[in-house]
Amino acid sequence: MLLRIVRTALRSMLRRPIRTFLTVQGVLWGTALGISLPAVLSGSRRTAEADAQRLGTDRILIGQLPAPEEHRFDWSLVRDLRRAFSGRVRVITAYTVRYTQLNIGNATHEVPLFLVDEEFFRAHSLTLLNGRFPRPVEIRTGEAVAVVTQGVSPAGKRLAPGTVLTLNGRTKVRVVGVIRPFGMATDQFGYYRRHVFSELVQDAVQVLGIARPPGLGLILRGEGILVPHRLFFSAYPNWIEVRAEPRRVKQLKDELFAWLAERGYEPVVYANVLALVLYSETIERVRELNRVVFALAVTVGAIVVSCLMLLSVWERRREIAIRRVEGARWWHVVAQFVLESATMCFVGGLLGVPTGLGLAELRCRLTPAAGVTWAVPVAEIMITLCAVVIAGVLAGLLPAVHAARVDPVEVLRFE
Amino acid sequence: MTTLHLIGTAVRCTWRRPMQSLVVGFAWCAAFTATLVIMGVLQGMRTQVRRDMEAIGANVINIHVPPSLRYLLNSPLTIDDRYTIERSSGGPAVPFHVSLARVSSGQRSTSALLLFTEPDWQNVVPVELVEGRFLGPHDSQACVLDAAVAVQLFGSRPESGPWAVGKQITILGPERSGRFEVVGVVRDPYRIRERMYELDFGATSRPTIFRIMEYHSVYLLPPRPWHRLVIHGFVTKVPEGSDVLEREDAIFNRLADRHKLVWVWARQRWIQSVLKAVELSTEVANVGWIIVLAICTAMVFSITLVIVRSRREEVAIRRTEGALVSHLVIQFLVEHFAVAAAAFVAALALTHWAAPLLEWRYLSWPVVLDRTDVWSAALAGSVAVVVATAGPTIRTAMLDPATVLAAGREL
Repeated sequence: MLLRIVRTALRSMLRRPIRTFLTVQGVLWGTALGISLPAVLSGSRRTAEADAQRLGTDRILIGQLPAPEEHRFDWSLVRDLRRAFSGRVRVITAYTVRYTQLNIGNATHEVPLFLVDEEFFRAHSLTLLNGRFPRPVEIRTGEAVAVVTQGVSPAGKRLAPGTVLTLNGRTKVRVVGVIRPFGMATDQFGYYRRHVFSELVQDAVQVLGIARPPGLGLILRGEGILVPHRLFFSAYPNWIEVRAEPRRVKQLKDELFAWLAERGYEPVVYANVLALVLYSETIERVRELNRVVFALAVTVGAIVVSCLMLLSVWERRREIAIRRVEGARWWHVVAQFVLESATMCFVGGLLGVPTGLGLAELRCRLTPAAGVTWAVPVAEIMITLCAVVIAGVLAGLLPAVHAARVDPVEVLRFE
Repeated sequence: MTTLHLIGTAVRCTWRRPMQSLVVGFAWCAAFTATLVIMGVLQGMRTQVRRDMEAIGANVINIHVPPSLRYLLNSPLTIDDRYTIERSSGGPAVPFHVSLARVSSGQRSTSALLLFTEPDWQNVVPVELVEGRFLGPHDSQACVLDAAVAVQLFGSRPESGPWAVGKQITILGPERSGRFEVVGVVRDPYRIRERMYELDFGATSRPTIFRIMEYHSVYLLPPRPWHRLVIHGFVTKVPEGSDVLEREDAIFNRLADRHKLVWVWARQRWIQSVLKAVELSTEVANVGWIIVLAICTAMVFSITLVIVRSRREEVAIRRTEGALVSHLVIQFLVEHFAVAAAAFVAALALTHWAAPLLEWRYLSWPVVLDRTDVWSAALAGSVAVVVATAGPTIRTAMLDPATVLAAGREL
């Protein structure tokens, strides 16, 4: 019997394809709305955590504007910072970035030089193409070893491990490894530098008076020669990089700033915008608002479906009367209409899932922040579909009861 | 068939089918409410940013050293420059010195800008106090907090009773350390960040000198006389009616004549840039209400299709009586416009009801609906009504009346 009711409901839905389609599309948009935001949020959070897993962490970059010698960052400050934030961050590394003259044969070229400490290689996810990374002891004792990025040498000349380079015409270093450039496609805030909206972002950054300490461009490009900082005794670190769990980035960023400011430094602290927003209270409020809007959309959708079903009942009074004359009980008629409404909502909900994910994809493409991605929010989809089906059942109840009250004799005599 | 007759028929039909009118009215009401709320939220944001920006003083000119620690330690400005600046601007000028510090109260602490200045600061920069008073000439152990700092040290402002005034805070900074009594709290001009503070992602990536515009400061009297303290800058106010940008040039030139190469910029310039950015982003966001209205129109289109089809017998009879397709379209349009107009009024009322709710729970700005927005929504709504009504009506009116009447009422 139940199978027959289901079949009848499906048949009558298929017989009125336009109406079915129009009802379904209403539900579809409601579902899409309910799913797109959770999809973007869960995808972005997952990406942030995956990045943290891959790199060990997420990045806070601390730079400094030009300052007199007594107010510049120094290596002892980095040691103090490690002690003060021990256990709360994964890695703290410091380095100096500047240009150097690289002498190869008779030619001299200007290339970026990174004077790094022993934590640098642990803090970055570097891909070794040839040779090896410097050993911690080599960095600590300031051995004349270097790691170069592929392509840093001029005009097609490949630098292989074992090559001896002369920096600034006097310091000789031996290449021990060749790595891929470790630059990023993003700016200091994690925005794509080649995104269609990157110019807008740059304009905004300028208006807000964001500082850009020297060497930032070189860090973002991630190309050059990496040597132990102890090789140059006069070198002081001009960048400190901290890796931390994404959800701690916001708090740590403020604490690091306060810690340095208290000691008379003028730090310029950058962190990935997304990490700050993803775990903020604001985003929780946006989620809550989204749930409210979804609930409203489902309520409105259910009422519209209910009204359409009422109209349908009114139009199909003769069909109902004939079914009742043929022996159908009142609850058969109720079940048919409830099932029809629930099925339409379910189908609309099902179609709304890919539409919602499509909207999420569109949203991600429009956002210049790298790491804004989407994922299938399984729990949200289940909840949304259940809500939509329940709404469909409730929306079908009133028209169904109306249909069950149809008096076959009256209707058929009139017809 | 006269227009009056058509309108009369349409209105009668609307009353005769209360259920259908209710459904259509409900759908339009939802559509218009969503449209008006989105418009109001965006307009409110724009208005609030404008208000916030104006609160920082459009007639104030900042004069300060270039944004580098090098100049913070060795500024070319001296207290003697005050006279030059005052003569060029035509208004009072107040010197300031800034440094970064950690401020704390009990278990709570935050980093803030220490802004050493004179009590006359409040006469140059618009200062609205939410509690207490501004610094006086003898307040050497007192301080005034910006509301953003007060919130971080003492939590949100209570509904009644004292908040921060009278309490002690500890300052740990390179320039000055110790315990200070809070004598006043300055209202945060950026109301927009009340609930979205963390979105100010650039907060720690600005040079110290630019932080005076963040309103995250602790105001203190200078620890030493100005001639023994590095002066990082001045703020000056241009008298009303004067051209701010002209005065800005004059100050720069007079200081340059004295070999003082400093930054001179009217806050008005920054205000205009920020407002331009906000205008642009809200214009982009306006696509939102167009999408919502389009989706709702599709929903109403489906309802109209069902309604018109359910009335196709009536349509067929009217056609046999001599009514033209245009007559029927006009009749249905009038019917739907009457319902949509009622729905629009209901939507306006609903928006006014929802506005304080949204402001209380989610937004840091009021929902503002100006006349242009209401008219735009009405115009867009009218187009939507035409789209949602004309299509199904024409389709049904074009059917052959004889076939329709023979087939009966079954769809």
